Amino acid sequence: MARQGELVESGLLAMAVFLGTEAMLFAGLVSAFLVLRAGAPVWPPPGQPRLPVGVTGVNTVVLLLSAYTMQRASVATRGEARAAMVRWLAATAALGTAFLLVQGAEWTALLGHGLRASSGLYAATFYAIVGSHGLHVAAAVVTLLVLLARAWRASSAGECRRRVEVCRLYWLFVVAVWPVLYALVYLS
Amino acid sequence: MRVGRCTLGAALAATPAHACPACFSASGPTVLATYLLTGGLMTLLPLGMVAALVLWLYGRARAAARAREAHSSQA
Repeated sequence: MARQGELVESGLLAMAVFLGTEAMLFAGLVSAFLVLRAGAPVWPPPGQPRLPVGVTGVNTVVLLLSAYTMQRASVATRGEARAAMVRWLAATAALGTAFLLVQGAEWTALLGHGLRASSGLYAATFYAIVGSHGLHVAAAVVTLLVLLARAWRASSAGECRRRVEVCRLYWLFVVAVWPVLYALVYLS
Repeated sequence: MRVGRCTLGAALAATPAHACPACFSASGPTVLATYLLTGGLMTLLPLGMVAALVLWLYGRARAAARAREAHSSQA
């Protein structure tokens, strides 16, 4: 909620501008991936391990589900339901952590199969794109845990409303970017 | 004036720079089409984001103005 005389809450505006720079980062990575891929005679290159499409598909659903729980946390702050807000924030953090754990297990398996960043453009672009997104999810989970600790101590849900809204914007961005990356890197 | 002449001289003396060796050395219509597509994306995306931000702020300003008018007419 904006203060008296304020058109937009300054934290939200700052996050929107920040997300603009983040969108450009991912647009650059996607552009590089598309150009490199178009220039390759065969994609994925022969001899490279195939990416786990099914597991990551399920993981995508987990991440999409976290957008729903984050939205519910935001609704709970408007309804002054502190316990519900804490519960939904915890659920979001748990889903984000689960996503990261599955991604970590996937990376470990791929490294075990010999897919290293130094093994070629295929691996380098995969680790650059998926790794960048993973770092963003990790940052979002850490932010969410800090927010959760504050929400736990807060006397009312309204006290955390601004922080939850800013965090929600970032979380929704991170979730919205992933299906695009998944479709490009895993499915195409 | 001197700065302008120096800048012009440096610009004329410089050899062409190719930002992306992958795009520059690439051959074939697919790569060219992809290059143009991604070039368009990278050009239009920031403009689109700025436009969206301006429209959003404009909408908020109009909503705030309407709320003020409704408040003053009630008073």
